[in-house]
Amino acid sequence: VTWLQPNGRFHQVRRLTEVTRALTYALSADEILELTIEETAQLFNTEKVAIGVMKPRGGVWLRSSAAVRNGFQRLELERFNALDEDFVAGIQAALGAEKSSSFLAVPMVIGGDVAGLLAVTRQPHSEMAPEDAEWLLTALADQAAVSLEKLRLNQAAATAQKARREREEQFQSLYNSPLIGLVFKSRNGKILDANDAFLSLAGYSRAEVEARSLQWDVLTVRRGPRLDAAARLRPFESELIRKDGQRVEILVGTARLEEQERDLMFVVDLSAQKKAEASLRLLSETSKALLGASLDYEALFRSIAWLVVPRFAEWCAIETVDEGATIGRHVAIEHLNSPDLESALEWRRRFPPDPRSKVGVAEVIRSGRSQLHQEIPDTFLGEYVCEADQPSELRKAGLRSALLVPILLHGKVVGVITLVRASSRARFNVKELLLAEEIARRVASAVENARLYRHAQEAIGLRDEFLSVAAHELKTPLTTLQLQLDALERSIPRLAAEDEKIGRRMSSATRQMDRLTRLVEDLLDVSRITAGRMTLHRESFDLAELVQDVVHQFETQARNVGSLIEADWPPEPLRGNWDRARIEQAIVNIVSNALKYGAGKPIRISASSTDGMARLSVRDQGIGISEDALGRIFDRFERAVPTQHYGGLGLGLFIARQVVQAHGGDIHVASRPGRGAEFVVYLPLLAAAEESATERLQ
Amino acid sequence: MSESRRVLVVDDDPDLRSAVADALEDAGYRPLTAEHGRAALDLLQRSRDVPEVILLDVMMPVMDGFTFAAEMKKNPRWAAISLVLFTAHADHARVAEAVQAVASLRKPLKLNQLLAVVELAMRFSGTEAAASPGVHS
Repeated sequence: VTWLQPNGRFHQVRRLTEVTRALTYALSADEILELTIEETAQLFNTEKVAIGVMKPRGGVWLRSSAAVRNGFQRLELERFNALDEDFVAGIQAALGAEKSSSFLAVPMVIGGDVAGLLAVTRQPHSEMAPEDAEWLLTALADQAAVSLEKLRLNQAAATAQKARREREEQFQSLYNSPLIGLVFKSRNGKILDANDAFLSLAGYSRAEVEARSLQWDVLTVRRGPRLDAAARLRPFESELIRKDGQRVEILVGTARLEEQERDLMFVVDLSAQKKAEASLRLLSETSKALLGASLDYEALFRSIAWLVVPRFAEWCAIETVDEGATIGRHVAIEHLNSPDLESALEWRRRFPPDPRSKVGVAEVIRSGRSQLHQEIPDTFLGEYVCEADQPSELRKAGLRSALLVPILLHGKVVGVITLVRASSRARFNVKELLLAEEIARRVASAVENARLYRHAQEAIGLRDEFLSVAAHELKTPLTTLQLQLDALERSIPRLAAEDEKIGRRMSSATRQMDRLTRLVEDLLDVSRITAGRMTLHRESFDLAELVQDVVHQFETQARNVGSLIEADWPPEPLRGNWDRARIEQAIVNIVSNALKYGAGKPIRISASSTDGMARLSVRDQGIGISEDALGRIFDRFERAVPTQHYGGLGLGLFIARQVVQAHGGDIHVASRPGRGAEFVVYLPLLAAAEESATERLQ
Repeated sequence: MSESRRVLVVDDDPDLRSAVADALEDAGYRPLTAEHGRAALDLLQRSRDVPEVILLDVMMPVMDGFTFAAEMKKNPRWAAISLVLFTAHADHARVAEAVQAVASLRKPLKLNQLLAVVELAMRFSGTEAAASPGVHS
C-alpha cells in the first residue's frame, strides 16, 4: 500500500533513480554534496541534513542544509581527523537533535574505506518506518559515495593524462629543436628514427632513415665507451662522418630505453666550438713559435708550416718573393705524406707558374690580395700538374679547397702562404681566410722584427769593428809620439836651462799624450768587452794598497780642481784574486768620474770588508745624478749630463762595471741631483783557506 | 853572456821603427831594424853577430811576427835570442806565449817601460829563453 503513497517506497525509488542520474552528471565534489543534501532533505521532509567526507589528504569536508548552517559554523572542524564517535556526536549536536531516536546517520564507503557520513534528523511524527528511513538514507549515501569515488578516479586519470601530454610536448619540442640531434637506434646499431637536426648535420634524408639503411657505428667514429648494461653513460666526444665524407666533431650522450629495447642518442655539433678553439690555439701557438723563432726567415717559415699541417690544412707552402719578382721561391713546404704531392712539388720546381696567371700565387703577388677557393680551379692546379694532359696531382691527392694569403710588409708582398685542404674536410670559409690572414700578419711582423734585429746587429758589429780597428790604428802613431816625447823630456833639463817655456810645453804635451792614450784604451776596451774578449790575469793583492796608489796618482789632478780626497782604510788587508791592471782601471774611472762631477768639493773614499766581499765606496758632494739617468749610467756611451758641459767618451763607468762584474763583483750607485753621488764596488775576497794557500805559493 | 847589446827592431811602421831605434841607441844599445819578418830573417842570415834581443811586431806585411818566430826557432844559431813582443794586439800575453816570447810590450808605451823590458830581455838571452817565465808589461 505504501508503495503508491506520495512518500511511499515506489516514490522513493523513483526519486532515487533521478538522484543517481543527477549525480552522474555532477562535475565536482561540491556539486555532489549539495545535491545529496538537497535530495535527502526533500525525501526526509526535513531541513536538517549534514554530510561529512574525509578529504583525500586529511581534514573533513562538511556540508549542511541552510537551516542548520549556524550550528555547523560553531563546529570546530579542525579537531576531527577521523569519523569517530566524537565526530558523530558533534554532527548530532550541530543538527540540534536532542534525542538519538530522532537522529539518523549512515556511513559512506569510498574506495573500500568508511570515508564519510550522511546524517539527518527525523521528524517526530514521520510516516516513514525506521527501517525504511535507514534504507533510504543508506541508498542516498551509497549513491553519493559512488559518485565521489568516480569523480576522484576521473580526476586522477585526467591528471595523469595531462602529465603525459606535457611530457610528450616537452620531448616533441626537444625533438624539433635544431640544436640537438636525436637518434633512436636498435640494440644492434640500426638507426630507427632521427630528428631533422641530426639529418641535416649528417646530410642524410628522412627516406634513408625510414628505409632502415643507416648504421650508427658506420656514421660515427667510436671514441667513447661501449654501451653496456649501464642505462646512462657520460657524454663523450666523437666524429660524425657525413654522407659527403666530411667529418664533424660531435658530443654524444646516450639513454638506454630498456622497455623499447633501443637507445636514444643525443648528438650535439661541436664543430663551431672546436673550430673556434682550434683557431685560437693555432694563433697562440703561431705567436709563440714566432717569438721563439730564429732570425733565419726560412726556419721561421718552416715552423709555421709545421704548425699548420695537418690541423688547419693538409698542405702548406710558404714562398718568399724577392723585391720586384713576379714569382715566389718555395722556402717551406709541409704536407701529409703522399707521393702525389711530392711529384706535384717537383713539377712546380721545374716549371714555375705563369706570372700572368689570373689565379694562384702569381695573382696574389701582383695584387697583394688573398684568395679563397672553396673548389680549387683547374688553372691553379696547373701549377702543380705532372703532365699537361693528366689530372692534377693535387686532385689525385684528394685536395679540394685552398687559401692563398700574402705576407705583406709595408704594403709590399714579401711572401705567400698557400694552404690546401683535403676533400675529406670542410672547405675553407671566410672565417678561416681571416684566420690565415691574421697568421700572415703575425709572420710579417716577425719577419720585420728579424730584419730590424739583423740590421741593428750588423750596425753594432760594424761599429764595434770600426772601434777596434780605429783604436789599433791609433796605437802605432801614439807609440811613436810617446817614445819621442819621452826621449825629448829626458833632454829637458838641458833645454830648460835655455828656455823655461820649453819645460811647460813639454809637460803639457805629455799630459795630452796620456789623455789620448787613455781614450784609445777605453775605446779598445769597449770593443773587447762587447765581443766578450776581455781576459783577466789574476793575482792576489791588497785592494787598500791599490786604492792608495790610485789616490796618489790623482793628487795633482784633485788639487787642480780644488777637491780634497779623504781616504779611510781598515787595519787588515783586503786580499782578493783579481786582475790588478783591470781593477786599477775600474777604480781610476770611478775616482776620475767623482773628480769630474764633484764640483770641487771633498771626495771620500773608504774600504771595508763585509760578508766575504771587499766594499769600496767613493763618495762625492757634486752635482749628483737625476733619477732617470741612474738606471743607465753604467751603459755604453751614456752620461747623466749634456755632452757640451763635460768631455769624455762616456765609457768610464761602463768599463768599470764590466770589469767588476767579470770578477764576480758588482757596482751600485746612489745619488740625488745636487746632493752628490756614492759609488759602491763589491769584489769577492779570498777565503781564509785560499789566502793562506796563496801566501805559501808566494 | 855576450856584451854586444844588439837589438833588432822588427816593425812595419818606419817612424815607430826609427823612434825605437833612436831611443835604444840613446840608451847605449846597438839597434838594427827590419820592416817585416822576411827582411828580419835576411838580416839575421847576413850578419855575423846575432842580436841578443828582437823586438817583434805581430801584424806586418810580407811576413808576420808569428811566421818569423816559427822560422827563427828552426835555426839553432838563433835559439838564444830573446824575443820581445811589441804589439797593439788585445790579448798580447797569449800571443807572447804562442811565439815563446820572454816578454811582451803593449803599444803604446813609455820610454822607461821599453828600456826596462829590453834590459830584462838582454839578461835572458843566451839562457833557456823558452823555459823562462814571461814578463808582461
